Amino acid sequence: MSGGQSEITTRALRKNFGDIKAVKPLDLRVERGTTFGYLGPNGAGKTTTVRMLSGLLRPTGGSATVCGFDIAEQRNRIKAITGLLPEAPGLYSKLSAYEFLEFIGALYDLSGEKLNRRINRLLNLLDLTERQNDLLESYSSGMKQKVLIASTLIHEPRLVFLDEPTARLDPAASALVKEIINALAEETDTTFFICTHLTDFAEDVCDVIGILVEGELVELGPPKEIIERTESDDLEEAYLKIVGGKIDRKRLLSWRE
Amino acid sequence: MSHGWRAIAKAEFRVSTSRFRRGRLVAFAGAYAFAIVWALLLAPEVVSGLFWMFEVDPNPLIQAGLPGIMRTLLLVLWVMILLYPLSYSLQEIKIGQWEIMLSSNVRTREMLLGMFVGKIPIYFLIALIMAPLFFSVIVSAFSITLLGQALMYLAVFLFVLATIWVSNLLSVGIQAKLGDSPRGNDLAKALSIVVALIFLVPVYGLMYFAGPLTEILGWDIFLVLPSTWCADLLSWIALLSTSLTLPPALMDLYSLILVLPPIAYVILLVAFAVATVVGGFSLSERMFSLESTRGADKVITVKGENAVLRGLRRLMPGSFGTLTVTSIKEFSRKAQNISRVAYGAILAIILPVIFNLSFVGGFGEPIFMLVLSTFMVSMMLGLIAGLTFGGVGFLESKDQLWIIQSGPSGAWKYMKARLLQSFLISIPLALFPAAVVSLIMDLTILDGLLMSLHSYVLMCGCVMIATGITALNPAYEDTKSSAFYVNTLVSMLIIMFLVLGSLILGIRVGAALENIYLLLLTAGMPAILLGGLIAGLGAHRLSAPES
Repeated sequence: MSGGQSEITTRALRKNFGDIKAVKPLDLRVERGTTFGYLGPNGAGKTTTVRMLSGLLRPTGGSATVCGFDIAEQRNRIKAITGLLPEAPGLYSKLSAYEFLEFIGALYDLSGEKLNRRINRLLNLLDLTERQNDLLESYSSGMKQKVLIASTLIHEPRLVFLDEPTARLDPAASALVKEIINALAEETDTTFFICTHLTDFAEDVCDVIGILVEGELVELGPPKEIIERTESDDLEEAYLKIVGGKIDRKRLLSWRE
Repeated sequence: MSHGWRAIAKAEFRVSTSRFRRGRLVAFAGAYAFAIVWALLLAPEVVSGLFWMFEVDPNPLIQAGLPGIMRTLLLVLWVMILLYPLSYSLQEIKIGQWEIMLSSNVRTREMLLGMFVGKIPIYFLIALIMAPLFFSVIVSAFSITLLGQALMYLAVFLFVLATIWVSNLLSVGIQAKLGDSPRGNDLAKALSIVVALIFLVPVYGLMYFAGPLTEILGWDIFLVLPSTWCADLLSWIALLSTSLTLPPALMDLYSLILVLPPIAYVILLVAFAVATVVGGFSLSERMFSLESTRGADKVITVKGENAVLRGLRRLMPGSFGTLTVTSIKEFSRKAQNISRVAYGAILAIILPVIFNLSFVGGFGEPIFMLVLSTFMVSMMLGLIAGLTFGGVGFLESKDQLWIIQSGPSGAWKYMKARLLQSFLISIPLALFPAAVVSLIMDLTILDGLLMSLHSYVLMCGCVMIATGITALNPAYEDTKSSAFYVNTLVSMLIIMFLVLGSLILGIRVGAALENIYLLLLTAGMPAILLGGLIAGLGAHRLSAPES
């Protein structure tokens, strides 16, 4: 992870919520064009990191640059060239998919024919054309997730933050998202910063993995290296060894006693 | 019946009193102790103190019209107990738990009973505080014995219980019909506002038309209302337990209204209670069926844009135009927003009209009619516009805010588009009530336009004030959150003080320049200036990263 142009650089970046240390001093470098997988259990600090990097949350300490811009001073510059897929869908229930994408496009100063063309192509790509004029309140959670993915990509960001992108998707849609990520990373040099619990997904898609446990980055490297270092068969086993998710069978039925 | 209803009642009670979860017992014991002291000692003193303050002796009036007054009071109490819980429960559909309950070994009638029993402590407390306000004046006018008072409160207690049961039934039925979907929630919120408006009608009637209303409710046709049965029974108890000797002429007068003997009213009330319980239990299986909760799951496909939206796009071809048009669509498609706006428009019309009618000779001078009715219309519209556009209509959820903030200067753009959307929707809202009020009050076209213009300027100011306050402390669509209550209270206080302050300023300017039109135009300016400032602060706060 050295030599290339750095897209994300953090130096002792940290975040506390009162006494809780959500993210402990984080030193991280993600190169341009990388698909970076940020793994960790619930509450490990993944979403907090993404919110700090995308300029939505003020860090408690440390510093970071995203696409060469300082997260404390140049938030609007960062927002203009990055896209964020939030963890929970914050869609407008009374807008159609088309109207929602129009709204998001306008937030990024897009309008007119260029915006309409992009919306149509993204909806077509995500297989939503047939229902593009239905109000979002009637969409399933997977369809909503697809709309959100389209909204994240609509302004062609240089860096994309994806927080649990496939959590609500069926296997086919999940595979489609994987392909979109791979195609964009390979063809357009787009950088992806993906928070996920899904080790299979991370192993398939990500070039580099960072594992966060209780706010601390405990492992960093390509998936193969992590698997080798932990003497595991796959990333799931490696992950469980690192975060301590080993199951004690004796305890499993102890609640019945 | 097993004991499943107890667990449901306990959970229902815990949810409704979660604010006092650290000391439920102490809070409730204290509240009930206060309510009893209030009912027996404080309320009669407060009520008689009020009459003394206004130098009114209500006793001859109450003695002369007891049955009609009792019917009016009971109607208000009945509507309040029936509709308030209904309106409150519709603000948030919660049928997610039904699936859990239905999947366990609990019968539907137990669910109904549990939900009802869980509501009793709170609504009974409300009734215990409200009822003495109504009855203490009657108790005092008729010198009713302690036994008589006890019987009266017992009858009211049973009546309130039956009403809460009916309210619970209606609430469950409507929630099941609408279902726990975004559309169902929206429709339920819209309905809760309509219900609140229905509740206000008898209250307004009592406030402004007490005399005619009492007379009208004395008609035999109102014997169909359960509130009338309870009222007539209470009148009988009052007459049978009074320590006064009433003149025979008065008794003859009462007998014209109290057409049935007391036992008939007891039978009717008991039959009403039994019928609602039996009816509720027999319908419970159908009510809690999850199949019925798909009522609001309807796919709505949007059509092309109307001429107004197309015109706006032509006027503002860039991204700001797109944001504004999308905001207008989003706002106007929510039934709850339309319901709130209509509610405000109706109140804005009703208030000056009944105020004018309820005073002998109306507002008097035409100039006062114009000034006072304009201020009433504009204050009501300002409040509703502020609380609708700036309150719940501003942001749906925190997740939505994250999306908006992730755009460059996203919060500022969003704020500007939302404000413009509110200003545009306010135009017909300012024109309609002013036109109706002008027509009813026989104002000139120029005066009507002035009323609209003043209302519009004030509405724009109020929208900016309330939007700014919500942006400083986002409450999203959660109308039961503390942030929502705080924002609503602060917005209402600022708007009301501003309207009164503006009135004084306007009168000074108008008097100095001897021009009524300048008075009304000047009076809207403080709202615009203060609104601009608060909206700016709100946008700044909204665009700053969270700490």
